[in-house]
Amino acid sequence: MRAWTRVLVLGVSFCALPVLASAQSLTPLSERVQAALDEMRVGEAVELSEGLGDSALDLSVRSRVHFYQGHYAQAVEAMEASLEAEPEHPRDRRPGELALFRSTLQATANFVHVESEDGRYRISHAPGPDRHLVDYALRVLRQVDQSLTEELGIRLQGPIRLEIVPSADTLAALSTLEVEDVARTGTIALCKWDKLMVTSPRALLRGYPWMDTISHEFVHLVVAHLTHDRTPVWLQEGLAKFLERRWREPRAQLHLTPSSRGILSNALENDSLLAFDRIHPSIALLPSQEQAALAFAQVSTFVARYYEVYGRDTLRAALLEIADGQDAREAMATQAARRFAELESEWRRSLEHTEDAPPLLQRELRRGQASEMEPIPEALSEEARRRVRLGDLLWGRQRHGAAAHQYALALEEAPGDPALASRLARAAVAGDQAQLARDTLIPISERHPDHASTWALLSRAYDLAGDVDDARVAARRALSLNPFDPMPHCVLGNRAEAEQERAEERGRCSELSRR
Amino acid sequence: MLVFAFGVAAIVFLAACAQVGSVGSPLASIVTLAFVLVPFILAMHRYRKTRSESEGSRAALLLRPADERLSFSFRSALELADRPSGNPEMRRAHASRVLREMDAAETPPMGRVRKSLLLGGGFLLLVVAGAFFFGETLRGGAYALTHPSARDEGGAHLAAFVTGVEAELIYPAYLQRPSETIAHSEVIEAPRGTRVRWSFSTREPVDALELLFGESPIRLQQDGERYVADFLLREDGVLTLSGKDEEERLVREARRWSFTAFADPAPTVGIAYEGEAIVEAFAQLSFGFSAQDNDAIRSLSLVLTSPEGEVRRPIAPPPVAMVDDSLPWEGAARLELERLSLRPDDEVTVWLEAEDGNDVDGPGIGQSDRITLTIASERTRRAARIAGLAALLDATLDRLADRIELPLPEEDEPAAARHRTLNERERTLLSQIDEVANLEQRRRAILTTLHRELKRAVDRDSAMYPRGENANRARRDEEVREVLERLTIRLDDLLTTSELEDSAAIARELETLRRELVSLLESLASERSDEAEAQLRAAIERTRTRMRQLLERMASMREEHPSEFLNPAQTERAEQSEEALDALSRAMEEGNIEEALRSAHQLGQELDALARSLQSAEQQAQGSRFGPRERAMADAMEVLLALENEQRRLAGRTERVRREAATRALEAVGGAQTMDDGLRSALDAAESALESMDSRSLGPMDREALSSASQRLGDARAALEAGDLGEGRTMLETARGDVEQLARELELSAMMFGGRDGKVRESAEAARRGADQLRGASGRLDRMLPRLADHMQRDARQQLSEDHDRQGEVGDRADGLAEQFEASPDEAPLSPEAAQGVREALAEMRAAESALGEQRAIDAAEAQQRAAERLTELREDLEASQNDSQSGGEGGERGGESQEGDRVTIPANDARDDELRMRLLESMGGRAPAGYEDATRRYFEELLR
Repeated sequence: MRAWTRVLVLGVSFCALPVLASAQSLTPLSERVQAALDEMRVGEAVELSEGLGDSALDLSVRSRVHFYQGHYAQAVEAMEASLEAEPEHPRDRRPGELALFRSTLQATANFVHVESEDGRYRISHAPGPDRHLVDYALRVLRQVDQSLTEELGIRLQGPIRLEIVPSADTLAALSTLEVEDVARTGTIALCKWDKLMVTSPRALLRGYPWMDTISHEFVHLVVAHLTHDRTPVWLQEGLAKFLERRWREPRAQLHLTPSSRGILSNALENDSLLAFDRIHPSIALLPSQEQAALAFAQVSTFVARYYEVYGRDTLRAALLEIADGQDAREAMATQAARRFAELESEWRRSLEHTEDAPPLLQRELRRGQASEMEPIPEALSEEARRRVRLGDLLWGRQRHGAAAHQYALALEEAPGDPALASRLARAAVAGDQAQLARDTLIPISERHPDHASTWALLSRAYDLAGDVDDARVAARRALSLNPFDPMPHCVLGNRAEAEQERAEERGRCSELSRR
Repeated sequence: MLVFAFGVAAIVFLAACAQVGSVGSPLASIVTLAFVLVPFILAMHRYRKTRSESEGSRAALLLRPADERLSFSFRSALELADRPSGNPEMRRAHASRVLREMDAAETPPMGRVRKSLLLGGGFLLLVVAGAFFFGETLRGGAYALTHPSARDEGGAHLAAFVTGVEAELIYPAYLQRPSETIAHSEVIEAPRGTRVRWSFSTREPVDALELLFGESPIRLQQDGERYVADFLLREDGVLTLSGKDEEERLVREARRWSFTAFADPAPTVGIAYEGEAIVEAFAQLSFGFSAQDNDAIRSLSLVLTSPEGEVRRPIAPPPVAMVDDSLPWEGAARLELERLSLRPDDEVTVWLEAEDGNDVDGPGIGQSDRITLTIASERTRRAARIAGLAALLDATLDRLADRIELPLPEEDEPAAARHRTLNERERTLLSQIDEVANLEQRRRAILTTLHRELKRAVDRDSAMYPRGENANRARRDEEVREVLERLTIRLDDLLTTSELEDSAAIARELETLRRELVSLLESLASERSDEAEAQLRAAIERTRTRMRQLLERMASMREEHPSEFLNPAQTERAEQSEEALDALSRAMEEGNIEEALRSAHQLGQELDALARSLQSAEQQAQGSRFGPRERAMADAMEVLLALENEQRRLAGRTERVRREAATRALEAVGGAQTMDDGLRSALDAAESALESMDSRSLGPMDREALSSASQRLGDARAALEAGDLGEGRTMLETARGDVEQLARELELSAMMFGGRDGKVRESAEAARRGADQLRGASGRLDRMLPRLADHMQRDARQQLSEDHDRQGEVGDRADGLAEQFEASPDEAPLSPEAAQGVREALAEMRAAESALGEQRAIDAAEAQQRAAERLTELREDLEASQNDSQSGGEGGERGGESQEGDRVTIPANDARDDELRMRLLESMGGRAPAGYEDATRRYFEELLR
């Protein structure tokens, strides 16, 4: 470039600066606040919102800021005032928002609020048994916070808000999801409006990995802040799934359950992999739990491979480019010095075929009263059902040995079924047959690592056999899936390393056993 | 010495008390104190002096006469103690040796002196204490001296001027206790109603005496030197006394007399009942009793409450010669339930109530524990069967568990020992199966089969002991286990469905009760009466009891079979039904009939929904748990219903041919014929049946129908008497049609609601009798006509020929149905009784077939009608028997309860039930296509049910 040309460019630039500056100041404040909210610059939005006036627009924006802060009553009040100042008009999103704000206010009206000592983590939950989750959740939040700072190089300003909702209905009331979406895809947590929303594991028949789910949502929150909410859903979910267990492991690595591996392998074989864009706008809107599992498996394996091949720094750099407005595919490709199509085909080639994968354990919402017995799958053979029925009848009369015999025969009919294996192990544990319980449960725990009662019973079986270390590990695993089962608490009440933990767990053991 | 000093001082104080007046003064107290202190100080001085003499060197002198060496040692020890010198250890050793020796030495003279003083002082103190105890005057003086300026809040001087207080207690007459006198007591307790004569005298003259019991003044009378107050003790209180002394000072007695009036305790009553908690409505019960009171028991009654209200049965007292109030009144009371108009499933609470003769507070009533009895009903029988099944299931599971948990040893002796243990238990189980099979009529065949199977397996297993190869033993062992498993599953099926059936049956019973409630409410709305209100209250009570039973059954099922067939929505419905019933009850209490009707309507909706839901759960359970037998029965019922419809249609066709032919025959005859005796007596019987109907139990439309039918019958009789067979026949047919219609309507109404004392049912039966008689009369009239076959047209003959073949086909199908009922889907015939019933109908069908072949329209029509009626009867019997079995029992109940077992199938669509029913009722009024009247009627009846 010639010298005069450079001078010209510089001159034009200098002239343009004041114009740009005045354009910034001329932008209405409400729009700036809204933009800050949209880009997850919530702190900035809060500061700016102090200057908002009483116009309908200002009131609606202020209402949103309140909502992002968790001040639901003020949010409702401001939105009502806005609608009063200017009646709704076609394509007005305020009435819908007001409905959401109101249902959130109503659903959380009696919530209990707990804050960590430093005020960084705020947990809200329904009164009652969910209080048992709080200590564990605080611990998880702290560890996730630290691990994500290491992985993604960003520490959020805080406070980090977590709402533990008692049921899928409440989750639907707090979000734009329908209960059917929740039941269909097994979506039980969300990260939106600068908060984490997680369903209590007691709302599900078999519990679920609720601690990893908190971590999963936390990843979403961090990525949303880091990239100003510009990361597409497929990448968000890939990162969240890939990093969700980082908090309890020394390095980030992929974990897919055998059933997810099987689903991915089948899709690969049948050429029915999902296009990444199909995941938009949410995994919760996919047609089934299998499709949701496939989507998670695809995007997490993609991110895991990218991370392993090109490194953490490359991934971070790609995220920063996304934050600057770069397209996610382009950013990832640019940073990896590949075309995205190449990345995708390399990923496809890296996928492995899996044989003999177990079926996906569906997440079932609990309806009605809690039952001691896990329902048996409908697909069981007539003979297996008959044996289970006999076993259940014998168990009900405390004939544990005979019940175990019947369950064992049922399990022969349906090998690897976790519900049957749990029944057998429970009867074996009750009959002091720890070895039988362990032999039954260990293979199940490998095939269905998220089956809560398998881990609870395994902890008891290890405990009975005097294998204290394994008992502790299994009990903690069980708690990470269903902390409302008294058994792992009772095991830790006796076997935890620290006296304080033993005392706490003994308290929970006795309290939950009474229920 | 100290005691002596006190004794002397006390004597001086005693003297002062005797001298001083009732009201104290500071001066008198000071003087007295001075008089008491002087001798006391003197005595103390003497004591101290004596004591000081015992110290120091003089003490040694006192010891010298007894032990000179010891006196020296004592002295040296005292001196060393005063002026320490030398080795302290040595000093202590010396002192302790001296003390030991002094202990061992003869008692020194000082000890004797001390003993004398102690005795003297003690004696004086005893004298003074005795004087105070017995002398009220002294106590009064003491009070005055020790309280020199005591005054009450009103400024009166407190003084102890009353003496010689006595309280004579005259107990209430009903207690039959002698009066007693209590003296020197300031706390008196007596039964309420006791008359108290309280008397006293004063230490010195006191004027203007005023006696208060609490706040109430009591009149005092003077009796010599004593004052007497006479009052009735009704409540707790305190007596206070005041007056004026000689110096006109207001004085109040320092003491207060507290009276406690306790209530006479009620009699204690015990009841003993050794019978079952579920009793038949006609049972005679015996209750042992024991009643006792501190006085006489005036009456003892056996009290019983039921939904109908409370009944009291006095128990005759024992002969006077045997009465001894100190002993309990014991005996046995009989109760005949039959006299109490109880209904099945009513809850009856029985207790004893005894009254004493307390005429002060009113009779004291003692009650025994309450015994709750339930009148046996289909529900209790169902519950008993369910309990029997549950116990049998438990026992079977235990036997199965035994077989599994006790592995078969290889060695002979341990194997034989195991066999002995198991065999004995399994034979007990076989007896239990027998017992339950006897209770379970419908399931007897199943249970008997299972019993046979188990017995065979157990016998074969027994044959392996003591000799038998191990492999064979293991095989037999496995066989028994398999049979036990099958038995377990079957029993669990039976139990689950029995419980569901029970819930659904209770819901249906509730619906029946609700209809009764609505009917009673409507009667009450038109005319209020105590009797109607009492009936309504009883109905509400019954409904409430059933509701509770339903909730209990559902709760028990939820515990046993969580979420298998029951769901939270059903529980919610049941709770909402309960709320609606509460609202109804409240509205009744407030006298708001309209609101009560609204609540009854709401209750109906909830119950309908609940019954539907439970019925669906029951069907689901049946479907998932039941097999060949139930399905075979359902198939057979379907065939039976189709057969019945076809037979009715054929009968209708032949009947039309008969009528047309008869009309033409009449036209041909064209003249007068006289009525024969048979026809006359049939008409008489029909009239008598119609007259026996109680028109008050009928609705307005039914009354009108009855009146119209009676009128037509009268017209028919008049025409026949006049020899006008044509007119007579027309009138007779019209009357017959009206009465048939009326009978159907009333039968339907009775099915819904039997009416008060079953009146609607009785009317329905009478109408049916009337209709049968008229049909007979009609046939008789036809026979009076010339040969009908001669008056039949060609197409009519053609029809009879065609129907001959059809009737043959229907007969063949009936034959097949009989075989279906005789078949054994699970080793026991489906229903031999039903097969017999079908064969009876078949015989009529064959007769009709033959008559049709010979163109005998009258005989054919009658035989066809009889065949159709037999099939209807059979179907209804089977349905009732199924419902009885499903709702757990057989046998009907009294009056309006006789429909308890009938299944009421609730239409399972989304339309509002009442609206649907209204539309159905309206549709029933419409005309059905010719030949389909009966089918249409049954269709509507089925829908309404």
